[in-house]
Amino acid sequence: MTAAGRNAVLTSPTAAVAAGYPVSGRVARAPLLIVFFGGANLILIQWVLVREMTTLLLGTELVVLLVSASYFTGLSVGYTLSGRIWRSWLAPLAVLTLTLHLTLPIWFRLLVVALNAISAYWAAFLLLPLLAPFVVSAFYSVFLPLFADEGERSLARLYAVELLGTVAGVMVLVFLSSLGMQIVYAVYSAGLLLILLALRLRPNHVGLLGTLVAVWLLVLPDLNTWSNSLWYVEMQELPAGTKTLFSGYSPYQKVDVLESPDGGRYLYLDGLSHFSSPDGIRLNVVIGQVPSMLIHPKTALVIGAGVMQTEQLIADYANEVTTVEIDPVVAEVGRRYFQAFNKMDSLTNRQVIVDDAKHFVARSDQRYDLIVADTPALFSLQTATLYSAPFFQAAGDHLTPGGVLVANLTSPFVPDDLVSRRVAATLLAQFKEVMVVSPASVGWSFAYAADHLPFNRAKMEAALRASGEQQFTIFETPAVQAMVGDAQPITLDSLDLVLQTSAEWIGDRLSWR
Amino acid sequence: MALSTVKKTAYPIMVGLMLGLLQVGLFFQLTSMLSSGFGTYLMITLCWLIGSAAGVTFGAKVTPRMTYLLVLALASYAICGFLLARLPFETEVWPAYAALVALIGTYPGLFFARMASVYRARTLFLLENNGFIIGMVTGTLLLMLVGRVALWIMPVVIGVTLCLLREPTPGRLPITA
Repeated sequence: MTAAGRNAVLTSPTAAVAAGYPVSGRVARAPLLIVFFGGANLILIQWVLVREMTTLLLGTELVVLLVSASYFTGLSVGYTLSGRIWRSWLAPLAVLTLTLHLTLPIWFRLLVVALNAISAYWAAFLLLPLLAPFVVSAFYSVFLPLFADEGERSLARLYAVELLGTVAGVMVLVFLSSLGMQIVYAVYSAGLLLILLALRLRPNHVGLLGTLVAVWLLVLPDLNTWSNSLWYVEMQELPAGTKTLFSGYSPYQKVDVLESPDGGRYLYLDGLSHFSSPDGIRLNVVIGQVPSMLIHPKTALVIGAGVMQTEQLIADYANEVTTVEIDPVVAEVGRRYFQAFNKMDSLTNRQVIVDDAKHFVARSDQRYDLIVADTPALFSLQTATLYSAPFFQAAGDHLTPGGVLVANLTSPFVPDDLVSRRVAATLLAQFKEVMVVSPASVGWSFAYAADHLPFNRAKMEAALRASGEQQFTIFETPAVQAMVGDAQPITLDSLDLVLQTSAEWIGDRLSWR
Repeated sequence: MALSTVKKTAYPIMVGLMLGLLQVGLFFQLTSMLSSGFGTYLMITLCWLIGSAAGVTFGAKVTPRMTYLLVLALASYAICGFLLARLPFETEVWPAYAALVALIGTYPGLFFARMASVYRARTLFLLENNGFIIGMVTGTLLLMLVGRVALWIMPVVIGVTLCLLREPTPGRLPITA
């Protein structure tokens, strides 16, 4: 390839091929600007894609892996296309990309709702991962190899600039993402409009596009909440007329708060239910109120905030209740939207600490009479570590003499349920006594663990009845040991349960309806 | 297909595989033994990117063979694991982890800088990225199936394989997509 060939401005691929020139010709006036904003925008759209797609496919570890693989496959698609793409296609593709990306949360949801309407939700697990590489990440990865192979700049320089663009994108997310999707999209759009200018789109056309983008960003919040509500009503079978009170991206997940016409409130994290009134209330009673009635803790620690109702139920009996929650957005929506359930506005013996529970427990010197692990199920590697032997051991080390650890077994404690048996096995490996309660009102089972439980079966029965629980089964330590059988404790080196749980949940969803 | 062509095709894929495994290993070990907080994700991401940017910027001027740089990256990875095992949840040590991750990040940067004269850019990125996807997926699945030992053995196995493949040099067999 000659310098003349690289610099020739060829208007059609046919002419280029006939002339012996690469089909891309000279594509842009500012390659470094394009790869910089390409790097930034890739990280911004990844932020949106991962949260939306994980939610739509009801996030588990396997779903996150599928979404990540799909995103990176898009980069490979772009690299492959970079040697074959027509120069004249780049600007139209940029406009198409802008349109698809700015509307992505809306049309992804509508697509899944439409699939569900024809009883084909399963198809979303094929369609979204197949679509994402082409419509999300492929476009931006075309440029770097294109410019490098055409000799516009050295690969090293282009790659360094793209990496710096990615760093800039990360900084935008760190400092601006808390302001909402509109702001992130505004920055994203500005970057893509600059790319369009560099691709020689006429300034007046770019100006027109910018105006359309501004209008879209103004209506986006309403369309976002409308499509979000529609998705939850159709997919999670919430009552018709349910409204989205809050929908946002935290550093960890998509957080949604919804309200049904009868006033019921719901908290979803990555599309998974974390609280629904009135069903969720019973769970909080069993893990919070019941042990508090039994031991009247002076100090209590709740791991995982949710709507923080557990803490309110404990606070009626305790001197001081501390919540440790990793996600500041979850803690904030709990405060703002679930005051009727947690009374955060009136209780004075409450505090919320934003930290990773593992880190907090490892570094704290405080001891507690009651520790409640109100953590999500073992559907991801991170949540599974909160059910591992090292974590339960660390939590146990922070119990006062006579203190009790309460853990959610996340499923019914029955012989053919490996998850609950392995969580119970992990507790048995750390504590001398483990009592399991299976209340009919919740469906799942819960464990109360200590070296010397300060209550017996009769007192537990009385507390359960006093708290309104009519039907329940109680397993004392020998019965728990018998049920656990040969189930192995969970450690950081035996997280196969995550794969199993993740696969089972996906299997359940594929046969939904 | 000539053996040298197979080697030239395999080399970037194996590097990608290695990087995928190292990223899975770093993310899991740091988030499970230091903190799962956003700061940990941010530190790994930024330090990797900055290390890579430094590596690719100065890579063409560095003379040591890729093998030495690979050993340096693996040694940094091992030191990370050692520190986490000895000082779990000691977040004060984060600057050391940041430096080690940045050091690991220089390896892919140097790799791209050095291989730019051997491969077409699109081929290089395509092969490396495909390897990265395989590394990310297999690393995560193996972590769940056999535990952290996979995150130690696999990078060493891939590292040895890369040493055996030897660093491709510009020359007779241009690789194109």
